[in-house]
Amino acid sequence: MFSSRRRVGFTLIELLVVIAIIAILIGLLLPAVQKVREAAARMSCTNKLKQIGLALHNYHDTNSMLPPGQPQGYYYSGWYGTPGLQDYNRANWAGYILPHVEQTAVHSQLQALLQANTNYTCFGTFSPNVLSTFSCPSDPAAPKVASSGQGFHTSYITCHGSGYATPTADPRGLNLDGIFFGQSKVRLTDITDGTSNTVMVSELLQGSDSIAGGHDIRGRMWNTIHSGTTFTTLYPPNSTVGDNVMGYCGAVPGAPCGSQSVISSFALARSKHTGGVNVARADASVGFISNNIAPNTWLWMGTRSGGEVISLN
Amino acid sequence: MKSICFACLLILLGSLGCNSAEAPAEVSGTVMMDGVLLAEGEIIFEASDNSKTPAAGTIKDGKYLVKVLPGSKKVKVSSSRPASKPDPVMGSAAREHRIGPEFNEKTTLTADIKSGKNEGIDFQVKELAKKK
Repeated sequence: MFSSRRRVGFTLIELLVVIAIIAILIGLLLPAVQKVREAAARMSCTNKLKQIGLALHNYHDTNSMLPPGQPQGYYYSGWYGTPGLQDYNRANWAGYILPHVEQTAVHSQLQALLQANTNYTCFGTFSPNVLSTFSCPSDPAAPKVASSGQGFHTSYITCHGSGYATPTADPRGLNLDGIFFGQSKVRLTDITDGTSNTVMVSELLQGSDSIAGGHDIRGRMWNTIHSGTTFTTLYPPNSTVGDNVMGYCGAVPGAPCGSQSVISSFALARSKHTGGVNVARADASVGFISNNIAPNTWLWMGTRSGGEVISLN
Repeated sequence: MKSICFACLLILLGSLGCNSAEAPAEVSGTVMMDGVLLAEGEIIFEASDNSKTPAAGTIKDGKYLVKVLPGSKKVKVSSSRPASKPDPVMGSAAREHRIGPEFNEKTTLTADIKSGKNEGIDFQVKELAKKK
């Protein structure tokens, strides 16, 4: 009757083998999930960078020039009491391209505040608004809205050149060799090094506000005269050289602080992406720059009309 | 024939694996300002011809430790102190340079870094006079 007796169930060995296979598959998959997540965040950052690049080009199409990096120049010891200096106007290049990234409402509030001339732009009612176009999800601190009343912080910074504002010759940074500097009015035709050889926008890491007597100033969108929303190509991306931003700097992993002096201050391009930063070049093309780029190549990419020959690989 | 192929493979593998980049050297020492240990600051090592990635570290109680790619270096030392004028928006006084440009922006300090450990690479700097 039971000539072909079928076995019901399975042996312990078979069970163990199945469990072992599943364990190996999970072991293969789990570390990859985190990588995929970072890859997605990086893609999102790249996309926002591209949008900012296109917005800058749209602004150029309308106004025949790129927006100023810092409309009044950078802060220095003689900042207050300089005739003709609108010291309440502390917003930067980002304030100009808002209509081109669908933030017309914020833009009109900013303009109303600037015309009223009664308060600093960092204390405007719009300043705590998170503008997601300016926030890169790879940075664990982003989007940062400072509790100290300094408002929203951007993840994207423009390049002011290969140097920095020097105390004696040019304290307000009006003669820097990049595209976005104090009171700059650069046209695309002024970028004689070639728009694809000159870096326009990159990323920063937002610092920690838990420092004595202040707040980290890197990326403050509405109060940027103390530097921190334009970068120099003096040192390569993600350098161990600290950001020498004015006054307050709270170091976080990957974004150390320099001497923090008021004059000759600078920030560097930084990101949490593995091995480098995203950049938008002046032709609005977006690419990845390695931390190990030859320092001179990076230096020369920061100048708009330096006449250097660079080879990008 | 087989053994030759095997040897070739070994050499190939070896050349792949050992094609390592230059290892950074550990540099340490002290920084004195006007004969006293510099309490806080930053030190930067840059290649003299700017051909290698620069490296920096913090100075704490006069001591520093930095990992630097070997070679001939320009060295920049910087530090800051509270400035005399306060800024109404920042809350308190901003900061100003404590050490003159001859030690950072237009540095004259140099060092020759060899591979391996470099101990006792010491520097002397001068404090800037305070503006009145």
